[in-house]
Amino acid sequence: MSRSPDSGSCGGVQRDLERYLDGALSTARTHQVETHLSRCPACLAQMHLAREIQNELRALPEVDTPAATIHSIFEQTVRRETANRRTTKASSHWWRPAWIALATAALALVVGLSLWTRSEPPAPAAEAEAVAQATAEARFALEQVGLATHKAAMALENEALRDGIITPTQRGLSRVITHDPAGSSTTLREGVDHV
Amino acid sequence: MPGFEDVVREHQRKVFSFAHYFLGSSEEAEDVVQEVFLKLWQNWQAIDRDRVRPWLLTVTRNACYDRLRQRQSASRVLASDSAPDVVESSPTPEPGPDSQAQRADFRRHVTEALQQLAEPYRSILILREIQDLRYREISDILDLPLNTVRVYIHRGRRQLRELLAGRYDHVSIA
Repeated sequence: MSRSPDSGSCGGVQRDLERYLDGALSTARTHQVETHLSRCPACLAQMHLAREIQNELRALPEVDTPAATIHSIFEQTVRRETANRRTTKASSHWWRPAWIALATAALALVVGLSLWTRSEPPAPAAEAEAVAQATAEARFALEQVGLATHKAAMALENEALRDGIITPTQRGLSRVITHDPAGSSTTLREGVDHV
Repeated sequence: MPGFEDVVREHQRKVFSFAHYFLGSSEEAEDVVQEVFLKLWQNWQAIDRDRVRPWLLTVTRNACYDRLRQRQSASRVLASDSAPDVVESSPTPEPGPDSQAQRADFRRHVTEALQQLAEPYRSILILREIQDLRYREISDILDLPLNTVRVYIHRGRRQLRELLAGRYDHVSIA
């Protein structure tokens, strides 16, 4: 250890070496440190070591994540969600045949009742109440068919929008849901209204 | 706007490198990378896309720090002004790192010494010297005042030198 009034102690100089290397000392202090270093081999060696460490740190390379780890991350996130979405979509379709079957059955009931009431001779007064009840039931069945068809159409439309099968555009996209008169299927047609 | 996969590809190197140099273990660094990006996925909707990198590095640093606390006693890790233990003090100092093999040894000793530094010096040196981040971003990541970051960078490098001084007392550079 050395000490002189001009250059300061070894301890003080060595404490300041990193700041000296970064040019973060005042001009006066920089001069003091340089004077000390020119006379003190031990502190000069420390200054060289400090510079070597700094250079070495800056030369350390950044390292890529192994490809298998990246793959695993995607498997657990994006790809899993995509797979889940497919599963959910498939399981959400179970109700569609059920609604169509229900609507078909209700329609058949209404048509049957209608044919039955037309083919019967004028009802005696005693049967008037039964006819009125049958008519009310037929009306109710018709309402249910309408409701079921509407629900199925809305669900189909929402699903098509969500999956990107159709997209709403600025051009006035029109979506038409038609029901096959045979009662076997409901289809979605799309077209662009030129406005 | 970049998707999740783009963001992972863009930042994976910074995250992995930080964990690798902080923990000194590639296997643990891989675990940290998975943990960090799964957290990103869970918070994907809420994260400000302009601040993804500082967010990722904050989470990475916290994950590394948690792992360190699991394998070391907290007192060893917590910041302290006391001088750190000297790395493998050698009775006969090795010559300066002027050959290829000596350079490789020096690099290994520097990275080992880095992993002996207390926090936040370790994080600061990795972020500044290896990853070349600006003081402002380091201050943001570590939630430290800007001036504190400046002071800690010099202090961290000094501690690193003190750790290596016994081994490289007579280092000479051409």
